[in-house]
Amino acid sequence: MPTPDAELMLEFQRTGNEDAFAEIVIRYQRPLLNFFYRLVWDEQHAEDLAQEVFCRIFVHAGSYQAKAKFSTYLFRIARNLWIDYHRAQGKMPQTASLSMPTGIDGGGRLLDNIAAPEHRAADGGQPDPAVSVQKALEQLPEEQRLVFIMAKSQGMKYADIAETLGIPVGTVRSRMHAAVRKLQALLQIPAG
Amino acid sequence: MDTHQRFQEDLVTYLMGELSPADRAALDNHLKSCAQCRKQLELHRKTLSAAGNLPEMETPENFAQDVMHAARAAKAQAEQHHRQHKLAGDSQRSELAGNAHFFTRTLTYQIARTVAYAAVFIIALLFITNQPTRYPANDKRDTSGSEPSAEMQPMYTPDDTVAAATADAGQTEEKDSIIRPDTPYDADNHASLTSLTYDLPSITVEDMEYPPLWIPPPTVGDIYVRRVQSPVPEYASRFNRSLKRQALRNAGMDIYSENAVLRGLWWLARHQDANGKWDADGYNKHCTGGKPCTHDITQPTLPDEAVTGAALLAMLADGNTPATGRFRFNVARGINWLICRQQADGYIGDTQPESRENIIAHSIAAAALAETYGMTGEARYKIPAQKAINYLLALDLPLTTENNTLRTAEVPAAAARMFALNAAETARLDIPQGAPSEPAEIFAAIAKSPATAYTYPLATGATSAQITPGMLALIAPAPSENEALIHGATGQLRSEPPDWSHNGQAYWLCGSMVLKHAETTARVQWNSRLQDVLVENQAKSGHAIGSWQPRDAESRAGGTVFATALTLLALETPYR
Repeated sequence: MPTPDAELMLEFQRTGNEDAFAEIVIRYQRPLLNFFYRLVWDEQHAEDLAQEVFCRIFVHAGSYQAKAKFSTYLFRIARNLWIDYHRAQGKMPQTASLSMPTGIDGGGRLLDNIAAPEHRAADGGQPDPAVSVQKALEQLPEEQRLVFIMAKSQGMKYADIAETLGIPVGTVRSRMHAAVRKLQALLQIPAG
Repeated sequence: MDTHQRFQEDLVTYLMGELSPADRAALDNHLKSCAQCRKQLELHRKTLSAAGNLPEMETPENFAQDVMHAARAAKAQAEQHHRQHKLAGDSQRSELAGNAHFFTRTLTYQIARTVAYAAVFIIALLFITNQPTRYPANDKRDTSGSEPSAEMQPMYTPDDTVAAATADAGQTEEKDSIIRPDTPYDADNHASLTSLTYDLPSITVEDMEYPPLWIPPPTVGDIYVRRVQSPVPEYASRFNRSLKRQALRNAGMDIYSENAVLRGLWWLARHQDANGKWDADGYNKHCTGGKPCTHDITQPTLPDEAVTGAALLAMLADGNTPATGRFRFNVARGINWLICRQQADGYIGDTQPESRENIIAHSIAAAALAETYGMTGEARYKIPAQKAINYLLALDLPLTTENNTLRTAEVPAAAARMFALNAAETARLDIPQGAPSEPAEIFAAIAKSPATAYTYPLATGATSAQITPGMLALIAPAPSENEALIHGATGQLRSEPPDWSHNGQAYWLCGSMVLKHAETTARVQWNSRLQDVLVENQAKSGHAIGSWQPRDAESRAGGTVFATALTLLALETPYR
């Protein structure tokens, strides 16, 4: 049976055994990378953010207390980092809004003209469904997007999400419900 | 809330398997009798299924090792910072304690304290009441005290354009640095061209038609961004973290260099103008919040095209392109600005290059365009890059009439041209054989130039500033054919290693470029010393965090932005 995460972390905290920490990194690299990837849709950014989370845990290992599940502790740091990053991005000067007209060939929105080539349909018809879902997710309010990604993509339990985000379980339920309703409208899911 | 509505709100939780057994049974019962809830449940199921299949990224090879490496470095840095902080705090406290012990015994202390409080109050009051009206962003006021001369004024700024546009429209609203979408386009005026960041019509240059100048970069979350693979293999290590780290290790550098580069690039990003350029003498206008960056002691003489080109080269070297990388917004805007500055004949700048500074600026800007094309392989960058290179190729070498050699004062400009042509060759732009300024010709001309001011081949006793352009010439054409020359340069460089007091940015950059082709020991010695010097002397406080002050005449010519860009290029040389 593998050693529990919290024990590995406590061992690293007590003895400084880096192998224990490396084991944690190996266990959580994939979920953490994909957590960020589904928020930023950029592999390099996701790598940088995930690395930063592990660095923060490594540097501040002394303050770790095994009160909650380790995954909750890790994703709480990830969520805080994401909020910082998101705010920093928001402060960057925006050059153009994607909903503005392109002015190229006399029409269309920028958003419609810059889909990545690998996701464009060969016949120029329907866009790739994955891109549509990404675009729809981007339009969710931040708190709903986080809950949806944690619950659906990361497979986290509502109770863990509540603890990670520091909100009641009821709020997680209502945010998830609202997120699904909004996605339904954005993705134009046909009834019946 | 009625029962039906409550059940409706539980449907998503039900599908996620998060309802308690009792609630689940109750909902199951309700579903049997409620067609509306059954329909809604099906809709939710479809939505969750559609939205749940998101693409996954693969875990990069060696990611865990990279994380451990970075974590150790971060911890070492945190500990060092903590020690320094503690040391500074201790010494300050002990000094204050000693002073207080003596001072509190005297009556003077009581009087001095009262006077000091009063003085602080009065100064604060004066400060508040005399706060100057906040200058608009386009104010050309030189805060160092002297008015900039007319020829140093940039021809235009985006704010001027906005001002003109709003004045024409009879509006009086306050100017700001944001580019307005309704700024009119005026084909005769480059100012409006630069200020527009989208919606630009094609412009015809001779017989070549430009594609639309601005295609906005993707923003985070707007579209799916993949890391690009450059079509040119020479740029592979810029995009691949593992290759980059391998190159750094081979060069004798490590994570400290990477961190210093990142801080430097952030500093550049913070000091870029809204229209994409870096302002050689006006970058301080971005210093809002915190202690502002220091002013350059001497007024930069290089045009903004040189500074912008160098800053872009530093960002490109770190794997950023207009569409990818952390600084893609900055690269996209900077390249856009350079393209907008290009004249019909390919020259990048306001006027034709009568001066050496202008040729150097054009060469650096051309190199940035060439690298952008090489890294992206996109045709829209090829046309401006090729035109800029064609302009350089068509220039005659300024040879003396007596013995047909290059004038010594022209060597730096010639070396910069060769640097650009070398970048163009790597980027697979066309360089026809037999052009007046093809690299081999320039190389030969520099080799024949009298070794009075700029020494070539490298002479014993020459200063770092003197040998710098000679070194640049040395590496440009074909390093493999110059082994003997590189060996000679290596000896010279080993005798004068990087030093903050005795040499400067141009020397470090050229030295690093030469030693990239030299034997391992010399390269590792040089680079590890360079890393130590640069990490130690990178600005660590105030708004200047991440920058480097100019240390030699070449970098002083472009000011702090130029010096920081050159320093970054020196640190990035192992993987450039």
